[in-house]
Amino acid sequence: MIFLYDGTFEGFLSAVFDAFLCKEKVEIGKKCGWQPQLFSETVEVETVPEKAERVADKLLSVCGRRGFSSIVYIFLSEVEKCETYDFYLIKTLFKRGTKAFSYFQNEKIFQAVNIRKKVAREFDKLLGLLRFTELSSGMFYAPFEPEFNILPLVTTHFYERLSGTKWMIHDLRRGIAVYHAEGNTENVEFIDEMTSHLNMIAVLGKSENEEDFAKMWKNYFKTIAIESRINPKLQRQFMPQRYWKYMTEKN
Amino acid sequence: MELIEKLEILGAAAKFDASCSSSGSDRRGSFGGIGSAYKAGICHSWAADGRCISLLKVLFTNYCINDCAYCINRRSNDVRRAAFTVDELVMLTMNFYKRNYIEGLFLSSGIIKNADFTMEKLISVAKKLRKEENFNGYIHLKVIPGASEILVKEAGLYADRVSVNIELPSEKSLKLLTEKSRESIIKPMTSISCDIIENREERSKTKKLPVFAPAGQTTQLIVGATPDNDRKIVKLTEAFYKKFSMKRVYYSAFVPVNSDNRLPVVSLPPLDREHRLYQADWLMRFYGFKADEIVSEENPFLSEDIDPKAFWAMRNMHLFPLEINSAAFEMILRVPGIGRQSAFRIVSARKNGSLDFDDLKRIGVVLKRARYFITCRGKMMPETVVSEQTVLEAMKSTSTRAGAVDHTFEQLSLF
Ligand code: SF4
Repeated sequence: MIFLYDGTFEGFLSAVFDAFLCKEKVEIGKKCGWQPQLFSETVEVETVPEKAERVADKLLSVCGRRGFSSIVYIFLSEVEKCETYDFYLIKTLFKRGTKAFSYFQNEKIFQAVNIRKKVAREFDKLLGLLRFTELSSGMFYAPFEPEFNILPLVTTHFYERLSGTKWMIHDLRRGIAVYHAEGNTENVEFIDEMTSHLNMIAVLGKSENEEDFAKMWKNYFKTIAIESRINPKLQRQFMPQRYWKYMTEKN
Repeated sequence: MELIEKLEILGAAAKFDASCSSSGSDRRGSFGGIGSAYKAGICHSWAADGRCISLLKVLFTNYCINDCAYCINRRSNDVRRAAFTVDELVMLTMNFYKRNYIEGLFLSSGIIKNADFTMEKLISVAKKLRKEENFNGYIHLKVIPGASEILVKEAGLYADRVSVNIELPSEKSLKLLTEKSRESIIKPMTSISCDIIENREERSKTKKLPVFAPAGQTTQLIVGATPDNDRKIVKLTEAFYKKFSMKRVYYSAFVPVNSDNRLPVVSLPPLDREHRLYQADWLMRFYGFKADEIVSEENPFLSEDIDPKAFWAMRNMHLFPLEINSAAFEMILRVPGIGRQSAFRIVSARKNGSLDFDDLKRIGVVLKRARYFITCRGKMMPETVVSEQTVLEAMKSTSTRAGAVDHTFEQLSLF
């Protein structure tokens, strides 16, 4: 049986609720963009906040906040079939408790845990590799193109780290952004699809001092390497080239 | 002099210091302030030599009254010299931090006038960052050997981590190559470790007290500038962890920057040796090994071809093979090809049912190495021939620094 939901996390948890007692093989997918399959039955899930909350509460009581965040990570991966793997992980968690996270003998759980690891890895990397540029308006702006949808995760980190500044983090790949000022964060509403993928540095321009700091940083970055230890392979291994595009010192 | 030029000189002057990590502190961001020292330590970039850049690591100044043989900043060298002002350094740190270039500041210095005068300068940078700029990012201060106890104490109040470099493994080497005495180094170390313990006790009574160096103290030593052997270094490291509750000991392969007849002539820094020492260090901190198990008196140097964990296993073949489904965690940790993460995964996965070799592969065990030391459900992996020859070959081929296939030590490459 295939359960199709609206693409929100709440919708996904509602689908988990509805699919839970299903005796057949379960698949969960997003409504939009779903390719109908010939022989399997599909149902459209209605997003019901109460249902989602019940699943969330149960999850929290079974595996705590850390365990719960794993479920969120897998969901945010947007990897093919991630919702289905996530569903089976949740089901196993309810049955076996946190032991389920190390049920590597099971293919679906193994896939789920692996996806979680990949998302966590990108999240960890980008906490460091994200670069803010001061725009002419005084706002600090960080564009990036993450493989997974980790904007909600990095937001929490920078909320604490840069609480005294106005900033915006912009996922140019997905066309979504979060803006922060004085302790409040909000999702940015773009006027149209094209604008949502536009790098604001080009639109608004940099602040007066910006180039000076960028130059000093680049220069520092160059001097800090020890000549007799140069090892570009090692450098790339830690700092994958796909992230270089928005990094000050690599441009 | 322009600020960019100062930064270039004082960054280059600090680059041989290995200890750049910013781990182990958990300073929460305060509202309206800036920064939070993240507990795991974040790398913000990797330099062309593959080393992680986490902190803005600079010297306050590279002027120095001393003349240590191995040091690029020694007074007899003819190099460009510069000094920051406190304000310049504060401004740089804040602006780099806001752009997410760095996790914080790592400040050390050459000695100007005397130890206390220099130490006071470092402290005023940290103080200004914390008090005036509301900076909650990471601060690591070097303690200048010979600085008075009261200043060391003050440094610990503003810094997340403080460190004193031991520099060289033995007193004799220290005397030969520097103007520092062992005592001027050990004394502040002792007082830091006392302060940390005292502060922890007092804080358990009243939480209001400020935390003293929440990320603890570390030290660093240079490898290959003197004839000291690996056993000496590994034993010293063990003592540091035990006696000074040191958080980390860093090794830095000797890079010849001066020609000096007291120094050995080498063309390349001994990177492989440095790598093996980090592996040994890792074994003591996370794998339950004792220094004596890693380097013996008869063989005081670590093997070049084989990593220390495999080396130990090969000398203790009588303890293997282990049955993965029942062996104790401590023993699983000692199997070559099984890292800490895999060991944890094995013992928790076992609770879901017994494991076979395919499961181990999924878990991340490097079977190419581990197969000679383990059984699953009583059987060795098919086609495994255990002989001195085969094991030696397998350990050798996967033990090099460049081809780091073994996940056991993947973290090490951080340096
Ligand atoms: S005291 Fe420090 S900076 Fe001065 S020469 Fe010795 S090692 Fe170099």
